Amino acid sequence: METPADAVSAAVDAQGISFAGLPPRPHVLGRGLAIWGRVISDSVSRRRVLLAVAAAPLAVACTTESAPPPPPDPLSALAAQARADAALAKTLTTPAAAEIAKARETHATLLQAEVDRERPPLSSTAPPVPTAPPTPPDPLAALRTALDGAAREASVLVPSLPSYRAGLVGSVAAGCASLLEVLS
Amino acid sequence: MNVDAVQTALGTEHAALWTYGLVSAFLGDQAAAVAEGSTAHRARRDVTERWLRDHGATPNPPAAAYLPPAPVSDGPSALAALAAVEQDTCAAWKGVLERTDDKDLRTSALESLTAAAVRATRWRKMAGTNPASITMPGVASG
Repeated sequence: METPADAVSAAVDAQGISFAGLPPRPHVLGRGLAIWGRVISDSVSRRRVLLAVAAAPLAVACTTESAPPPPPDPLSALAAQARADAALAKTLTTPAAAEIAKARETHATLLQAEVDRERPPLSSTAPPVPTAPPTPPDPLAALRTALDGAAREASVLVPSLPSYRAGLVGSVAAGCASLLEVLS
Repeated sequence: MNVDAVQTALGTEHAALWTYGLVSAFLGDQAAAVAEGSTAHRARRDVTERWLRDHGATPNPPAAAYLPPAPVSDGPSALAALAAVEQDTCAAWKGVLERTDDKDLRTSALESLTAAAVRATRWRKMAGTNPASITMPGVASG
């Protein structure tokens, strides 16, 4: 005759809850109690799982709401400016302009690499493409002004940056001063 | 340690002063620019020694002589020696930038780095080096 305990045991086995590798349970007295214990602990853990699943979106919502978006990386602006300067220098045909274009491209690459190292870009965000600026009436004077501004902006940042960035940005500032000397 | 980095920078300032003295005989037509560089390095040396004393360190004295990367025997080799010592100065001050969080020392190190980069560019331009500019002053490959 099938006892209620046997029915539970069959149900438990049918759900695949019995542990693999355990020897077959011996038919002894008190077995029903043991099985009920397992069923209870199993149902508790299932409840916990359901609760966790239900709470997960809530947790995500809370996390995203509590963390404000980080401020833009100051080096990002320096990299953008370096790209713009390189684009401006390319509109000129003098050897000095070619030198400046190459140097500012190197600056842009190094600065962007540091920005991406600290905050890896999302794969969906494409790297900013420099928009072709309207050619100013006097490109050489505009280039000089741009380099002067770039040296200044990089210099202003240096005292407050973390030390590993201070060397990079300081070198970029000095590099812009060096490029200005080439133009003079 | 930033005291060690500043001592290294002081060493390159001593070397730069010595080199400007060495080349002056070969760059008579550039006497004003040589004097300007020499004065700038002397001022930087004095400021650096003062900084070290203020921070409880004894400034390292200059060496009796320095070895330029190539023998100096005429105008072009003199210009090359000046460009080389200015680039060494850039590297030393960039080293200070990377080893201190002291804002005043950073500002001073950046001034030294920038001024040395500009002088190095001037000497390279005069020597006809191509490119005359230094993309990343103080960086070994720059």
